[in-house]
Amino acid sequence: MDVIMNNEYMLNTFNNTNNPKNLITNLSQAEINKEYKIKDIQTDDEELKDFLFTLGCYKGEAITIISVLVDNYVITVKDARYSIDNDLAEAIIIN
Amino acid sequence: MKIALTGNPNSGKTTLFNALTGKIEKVGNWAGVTIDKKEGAIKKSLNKTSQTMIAVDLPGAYSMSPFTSEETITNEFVNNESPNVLINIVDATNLSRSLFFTTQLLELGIPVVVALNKSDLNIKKKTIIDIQKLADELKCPVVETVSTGGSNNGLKKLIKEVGLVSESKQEAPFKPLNINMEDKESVKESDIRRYEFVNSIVAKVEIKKVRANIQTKQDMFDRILAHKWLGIPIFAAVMWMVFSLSQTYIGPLIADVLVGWIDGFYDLVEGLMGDNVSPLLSALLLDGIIGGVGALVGFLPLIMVLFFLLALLEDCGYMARVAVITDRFFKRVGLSGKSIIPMVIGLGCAIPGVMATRTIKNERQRRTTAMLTPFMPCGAKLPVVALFAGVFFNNAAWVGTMMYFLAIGIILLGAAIIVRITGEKNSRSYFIMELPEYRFPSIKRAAISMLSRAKAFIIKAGTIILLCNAIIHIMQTFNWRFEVVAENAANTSILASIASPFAILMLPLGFGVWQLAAATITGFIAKENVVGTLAVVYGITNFIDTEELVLINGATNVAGVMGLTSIAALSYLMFNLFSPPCFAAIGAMNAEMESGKWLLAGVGFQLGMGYVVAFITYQVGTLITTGVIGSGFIPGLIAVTVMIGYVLYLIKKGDIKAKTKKVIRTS
Amino acid sequence: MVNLIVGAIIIAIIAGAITKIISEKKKGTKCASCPYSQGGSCSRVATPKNAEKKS
Repeated sequence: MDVIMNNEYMLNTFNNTNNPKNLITNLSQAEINKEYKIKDIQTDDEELKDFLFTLGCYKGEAITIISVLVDNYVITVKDARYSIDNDLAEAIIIN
Repeated sequence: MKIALTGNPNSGKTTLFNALTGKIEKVGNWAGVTIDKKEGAIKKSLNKTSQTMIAVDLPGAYSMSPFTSEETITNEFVNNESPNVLINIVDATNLSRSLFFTTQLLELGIPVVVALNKSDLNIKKKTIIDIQKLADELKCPVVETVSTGGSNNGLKKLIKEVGLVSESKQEAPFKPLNINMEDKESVKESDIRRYEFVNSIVAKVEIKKVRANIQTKQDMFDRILAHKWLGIPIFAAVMWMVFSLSQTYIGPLIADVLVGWIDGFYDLVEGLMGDNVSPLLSALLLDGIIGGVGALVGFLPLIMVLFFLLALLEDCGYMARVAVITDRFFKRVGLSGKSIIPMVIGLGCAIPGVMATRTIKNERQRRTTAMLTPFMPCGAKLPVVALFAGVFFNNAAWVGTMMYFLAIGIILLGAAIIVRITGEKNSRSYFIMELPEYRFPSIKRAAISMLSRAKAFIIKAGTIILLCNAIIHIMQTFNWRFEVVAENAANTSILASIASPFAILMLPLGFGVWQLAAATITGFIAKENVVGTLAVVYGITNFIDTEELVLINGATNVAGVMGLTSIAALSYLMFNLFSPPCFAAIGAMNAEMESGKWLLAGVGFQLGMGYVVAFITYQVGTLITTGVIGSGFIPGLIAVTVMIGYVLYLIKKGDIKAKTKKVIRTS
Repeated sequence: MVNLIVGAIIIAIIAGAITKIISEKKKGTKCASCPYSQGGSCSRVATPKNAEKKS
């Protein structure tokens, strides 16, 4: 029994009852008002990546969700506010 | 000397341009208002040199990196037109993003002067920027400006600095090393270092009291205005308020006075002419010219109020939020929230609305929006709505409101159809929209916008509409042998013979009368012509009453003269509203479609939609109100069925295309 | 006599209208009464042709 319960997987699963997703990988899973660092933009749309870059949205830059409006997220990057949809939020990988 | 105004979108370039040149180019508080370059000479009061200085306003850009497609206009301008000086308008509230572009501009070798704009907002936010230090770091002069300010807005100083640097050569503070401009990775790396450089500058010169990533009062506003459940009702309420103020409350009040004057003028001229004038000339002058134009000018106050309110709306920053609110509905029909902005602009005039679609990146979405924007009743269509609401529905407010809701419905339906036909129903696109700060709309700017629009309207009325009315009058007075047409033989006139074939086509819609057909046709030159032509053709010059806005004095007379039931009138109104717009707007569509096929499809779609909507309204309405179907039911039904059938066929073809695309995507 | 005057007035009005329209066309106001079209802003300058899938 001890062997089973001490297993790391079991500990993680049963101790973190409030957070079924241990890892927050993309922005749509992020908490509001908490600053994260962008890890990557996961999309095959090159132009989108370039556009985001010119806004200052690139690897290493700070990003925060200010609020959730309807299905859109209001985020702030480099002192400016933007509204992005869920698809885009899922494409922004954070850590 | 040529001076280019560059900078991020929505940083205040066009406002600055207007202040420098005295022009009134369109401004709005969202990214993407300016889509083309505009030129103007800088005012003498600011330009103390002996040379003429031409300012060129360019659309906003975030960078000049070679691999982004959007910044071509700035690139091309700088490369092809060799400006002498660049004024870089930098939004002082967002230094760290703005300076990225600034450092790129500084590398071009052209002298740059930075206008640190919106400095008044910084004072409010208690952000302090050391401009001397900034100027030292950037190696170019920095001038604080408030482009929305009256006097003391920094412009004099700005132009003075421009004059001073115009002879010197610009040194670049940041030199990208070893980059291969062809290799994307290399450019990206260099840009990352550029950002680091910018960050270091910002750290040195800026002291922020309020951190950007904390919720502020503005965010609280957003939470309410763009709320999941409240957002749409609030938007609907705002729009309803705009319409009712212009059409029902304030507009008609002012219109009454104006109409009184027009009536008086008519009588005056009539009196002056006396009895010895040939009835021909008298009719032409009184009914053709004064009556026709006068009928229209009576509606001017409604249009002015509309434009005033729209300007306030566009200035306060709400538009970007509207895009967010409507995004989820537009997503269902293959568009995005960005499409709402051209449509709201289209409430004023469809032409700038259609042009505003240029900011939509996705080609199909842009073309779809361009073709659907004209369905929103524009300012020119207002008189038509007001006229019919007045004559047939006792000025009821629901008529106008219904037209707008119907327009939205048609737009959504149209978008859904188009996305199916193009086979792109499974394609996805991302939505990202910058949310500018709310600001109190400027009454002054709104008033200027309203007055300039009023002037344009009067000019249009006095030229195009006047000519059309005169021609129409002549065409209905004479027959082909240039004899005057007898009282009861109006249908032998030139006009009648031309319009009658079209009138036959309109029989199933309830208005197969040549006068109405003629009015609709002239509507393609300018939608206001519908009212003008009707006034001329029915000789109803006294139908403008001084107590109520329109009609009376025989509203029943007019209805009788037109020979329409209320249902037919409604159907006629809808046909004029939801068919192709005026030629000028079609021209704007052509510019945005960039494809003859799409243009033809767009106009065809609009024509078909107008026909179908009018047909259904008339036939179903007549059936409900009188228990029998209207005239021309069978031929109309055939036509409508063919049209709908064709569209369904195209949808089916599109769905097949979508399926194959899906297969390719997943494999 | 009156006819002449009235006729002259009508012709003057119409001529004025036509002249105004021609002068507007020359200035390049394609959008027949759009106040925002000073200096040919209704014409395209350059378009990013390869814009796809972004909105």
